[in-house]
Formats: sequence, structure tokens, C-alpha cells
Amino acid sequence: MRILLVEDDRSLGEGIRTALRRGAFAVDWVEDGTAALLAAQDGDFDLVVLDLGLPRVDGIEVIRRIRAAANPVPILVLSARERPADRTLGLDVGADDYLGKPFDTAELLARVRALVRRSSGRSHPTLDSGDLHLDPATLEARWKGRTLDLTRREFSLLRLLMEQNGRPMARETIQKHLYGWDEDVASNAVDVHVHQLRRKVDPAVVRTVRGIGYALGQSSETDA
Amino acid sequence: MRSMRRSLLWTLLGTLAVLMAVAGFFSYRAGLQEAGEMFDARLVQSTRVLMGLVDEPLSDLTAFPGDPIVLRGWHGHAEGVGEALAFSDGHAYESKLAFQVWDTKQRLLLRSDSAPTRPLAPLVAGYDSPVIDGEQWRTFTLQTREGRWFQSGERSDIREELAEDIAGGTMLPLLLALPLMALVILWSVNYVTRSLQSVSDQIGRRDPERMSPLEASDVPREAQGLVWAVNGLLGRLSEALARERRFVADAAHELRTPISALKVHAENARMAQDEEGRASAQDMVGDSVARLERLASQLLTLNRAEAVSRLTSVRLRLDALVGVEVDALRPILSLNRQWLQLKLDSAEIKGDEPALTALVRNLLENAVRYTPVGGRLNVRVKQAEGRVLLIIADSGPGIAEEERDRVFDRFYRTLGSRVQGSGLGLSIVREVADAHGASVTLSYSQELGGLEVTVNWAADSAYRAAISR
Repeated sequence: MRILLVEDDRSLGEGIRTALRRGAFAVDWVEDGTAALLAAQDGDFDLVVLDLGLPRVDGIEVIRRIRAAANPVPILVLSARERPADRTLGLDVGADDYLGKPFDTAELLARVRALVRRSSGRSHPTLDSGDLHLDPATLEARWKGRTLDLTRREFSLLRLLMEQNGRPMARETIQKHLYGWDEDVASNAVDVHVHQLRRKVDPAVVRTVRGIGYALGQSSETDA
Repeated sequence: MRSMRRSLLWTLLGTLAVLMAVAGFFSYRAGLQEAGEMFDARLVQSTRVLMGLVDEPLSDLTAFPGDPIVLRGWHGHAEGVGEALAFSDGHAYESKLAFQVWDTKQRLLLRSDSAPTRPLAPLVAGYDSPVIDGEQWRTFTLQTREGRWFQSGERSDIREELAEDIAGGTMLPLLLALPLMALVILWSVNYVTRSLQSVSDQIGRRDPERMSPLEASDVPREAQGLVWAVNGLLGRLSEALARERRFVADAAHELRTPISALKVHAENARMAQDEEGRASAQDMVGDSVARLERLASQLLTLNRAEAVSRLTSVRLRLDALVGVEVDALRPILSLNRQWLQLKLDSAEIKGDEPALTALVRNLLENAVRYTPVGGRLNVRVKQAEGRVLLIIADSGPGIAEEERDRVFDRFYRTLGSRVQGSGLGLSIVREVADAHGASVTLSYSQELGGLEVTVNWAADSAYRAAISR
């Protein structure tokens, strides 16, 4: 899960990035409207967390242009403009949710999860597939009732594959969703994470799709 | 509390009553005098007529006749005034008129029946005012050549009555006018107080949400000044209120982001999964608190500078003030390896020391903050043609010409700068400068290539003009 964070306040941006990473999201952070538009164009974001009072291009204009480009990415506005009229404007130009500053970090993370869930067409807050159970809110993962001890990145990878309902994902796409721009990534990082998952959960939990990448594995009963 | 209506009513009615009493007294006195003169003259005349008619026949009466001849007058009973006392055969007041004729041996020859048998007055020629049977009389006595005495008299109450009538005639309309006057006074005072009441009702309806000017149309001209003064006050109040509200709204808005940051960092510190994460989050909590602290103090400084009337005015040495502030920055300068050139001429200005300190400190801090590591700064205080100049130049990025006006706006920050400020520094500088009649100019520094800020203090009078505004 990769989130575009647009916030011109350095301290706040840094704090939000840390909080989102704690929620097992990859975060790309830009500090002005122009950079936000460029990044959004590039795509592959599961969510945009957007401040409105931005240098260069105002946040409202950023939303308009993202929607004008037929980009369906969920947008969560995070703004000090918190009067009802401001909220109405933000939602009406195409934002999906609106949170006024100062906000509660737990609430921000919950809203982020809810938006991601809705945009992937789910309504149930947890992910279940066969013997695998994932709770994005608590970052808890269980296999056949056994709690798994996963790193944030491994949890992220598992969540990503479960969101696809068994459809395979390219290795590069997976990498994009696991890492922000500014993070150092080894070229075989995804393979390493897959290896770790197979070791910690079950060898069949992730399936290699030749020529494409990886998909969530068959459940153990059908996997024989 | 004093009632305007009551005090006006009693003052006017009291004055009127006193005037009436005085008028009555004087017209009574005048009436008495005029009546006296007229009656005295008539008394003489009637004595002479009596003498002319009676002296001749009496001189034939050589021997004393014994009992005097008595002329009867009208002896009816009548009450009232004017016509009620007059009858076809006499007048009720005949008893108040009397005459007597005495011979040389002072024997009574002739008298009216209203006269006593004793002389009305001692037989001496001229006027007299004797008291007869308890009544005050006025008499005139005349002696003929033969030595007979003619005396006429009338009771003084006749003339007093006349004087009273004259005085009463003057007083009566005034007395009747008194209640009428009271009504007129009440009505006009009511009219005036009602319009004043409407003004105070209008004022009563004003509150911080509704500061529209008062209607002056139905207010008496004398109270228009009051209405204008109140309207002026309302205008100034609503201006000040709007400024305060804008300030509070701006401040509340600007506090949201740093408070959000503080909350996030605190939560991150609490939720951190390793020591490194916790330590870094805790550092950021500290930074956020320091930033909020600074923002709060800048807000207070700005608010203080905006309230010009609260500023004091003392003579102080600008060069000394700048020197102290530069010294306070030395540790940061050496940390940033920035080189600062200081040239201070002695210069005295007049103003509020805390405000001027804030001005100097903000300019210096801005210069240090925006100048890159290893950069240069020039700080100068000089006197030129009676003016005092503070010039601070740096080798930073400067401010684009089109932005130079806007940077003085509250909470405005230049784009793309990596510097986190409150956005209030230059607003404070502008406010303080304005309050001291100084100007602030931003320009390009020829020498260092960055921003050059010039604060220009005019003569002393400008400060005083600004502060008494």
C-alpha cells in the first residue's frame, strides 16, 4: 500500500510519514502542489493525503486536476481549513474524506484504512483468505489460528497480495507498493520478502507466477 | 438619581412663581401709590367743592346752631364688587367716605352720617392718616378765611382694595398660566427626553455583533454631537474588534498545523516500536513545543505592536540595542560559520524598548535564518541628515520583487524556502516601524547579493504623531 503525502510543513509531514509507516504503508512525501500533481500523474498510489494550503498550486486545485485527469485515487484532505463550507468545497471538488487540523493520529490512520478498503471494493475490515487472517488495524496476522510474527514490510506484502484476490502482481508493482521513493531498495527485495513469508507462514502462501511475479497461494487444502 | 424632567419642571415653575410674586408685589405697590395720588387729589377736590358749596351758607349762620347738621348717606346692605355695590340711590361705600365742618371754636357744624362727632383728624391744614375706631383713614383738612375747618376723609381700605385689584389683575392671568406652563414644560421636556430615550434605546441595541451607526435623524440638534461622538466611537470599536477577530482567527488557523505536528510526534513517541524511533519522535516533540512557544511569543509581540497606544516612549541608543542583539546571535553565527560585519554609529531614537528590540531581533534572526551556512551578513547603524538608519544585508536568496509587499502580511512565508518560521517576523517589524514613524524598505544587496532591509527613523515628531493617533 503506497500513500502520497502532500504537506508543506516539514515537522508535520515528517510526523505523518512516521505514523503512516507504522501502519505498514509506504509513503511518498512531497511539499508543494506542483510536485503533488507530478507524483499523482505517475500513479500507483493507493491514497493521497493532501494538505490544502500548499505553495505553488493550492490543494483544491490539485484535487480538481487529479479528477480532471480521470485519476480515481482516493483523496483524504488534511487541512486547517475546517469550517463546514471548506469541507463541503473539498468534498465537492472530488476529495473522498476530509479531516480538520489538529487531528488525532489514530483517527487519521483509521480513515486511511477505511478509504483503502472501500477503494478496493471491500466492506469487511479484516482480510480473510482460507487459513490466512489479516487485521490491518492491529497489524495482526494469523495462519490457522496461529499468530504470525511478521515485519511491517512482510505484513504489507501479504496485505497487498490478499487485496488482489489471487490475481498475480508484477514484481516491480509490488516493489512500488512496498517502498517509497526515498527508501533504499535492494533489487531482489521483493524476492527476499516472499522467501521470508514462505518460511514464516507456509511455503504455499505465496505462489510464483512465471513471467509475471507473485500471487496469493492456494489454501493448503487445495494446494496438494 | 436626578430627573431632568422633574428638576426642569420645578426650576421653571419655581422661577415663574417667584417672578409672579415680585410682579404682584410691585404692581400692588404701584397701584397703591397711583391710587393714593389720585385719591388724595380727589380728597382735596371734594373738600374744596364742599367748601365752595357750604361755606357761603354757613357764614350766614352766625350763631352756633347747637347740634350739627347731619347728611344722611346710603345705608343698605350689599356684598360683592363693582355693580353689586352701586344702587340708584347710593353706593355701599358711602360709609367709607366722610366729611366734617367745624367753626372757629371747634364746634361741629356739619358732618356726613359716616363721620364721627370728634374731628377726623387734628384740625391742622393738610393731609393726615389717623386711626378711627380701629380703621385706617386718610384725611384732608382745609381752613377758610373765616377760620372754619373743612375735613374730608376716606377709609384707606378703599385704596388698598384698588391696589389689590390692580395687583390681582396682573397676577391672575399669570396664576392661571402656571398650570398651563407646567403642562407645556412637561410636554416639551417629554419630547426632548423621548428623543434622547430613542438614542439610548439605539445604543442599548448595539453589541459587538451589531455596531451600525446610530440614526441621527430624529434626534434634537443639541444631541447630534452626542450621536456623532457615539458613532465615531462605534466605528473605532468595530474596527478594533474586526482587527482583533481577524488576528484571533489567523492565529487559530496558524496554530492548527504546529499543534497537529505536536500531536503526531507525541503519538509517534508513544507508539514507537524501537528506541531509535522513540528518541527521534521525542526530539520532534521538543522541537514542536519550541516552535509553538515561539509562535505564541511572536503573536503576543505582534499584538502588542499593533496596539500603538500601549507603547511607551523613552530615549534609547539604537546602536547599543543592535549590539546586544547581535551578541545574542553569536553562538548560532559560529555554528553556521556565518560571518557578520558590524558597524555601529552612535544613534539615539525614541520609542518603546521591548517593541524596538523585537524589531531588531526579528530582522537579525531572519537574516541569519535565510543566509546559507558560510554566508555573510552586514549590520549597520548610521545617522544621515537627522535620520537614523538600520541596514541589515545578507548573502541569502533575497526576496523577489513581486513578493516584497506580501512578505509583510501576517503568516506569509516565502515559497520554496526550507526555513520554518512563524510567518510573523516581518509583520512585527512593519507594525513596530509604523508605530514609531519609521519606514521599512526591502531591496537587493549590491554588496552581498541577498536581501537588504533598511529601517529609516524620521525625526522625533513622527513618532509622537504616530503614537497620539
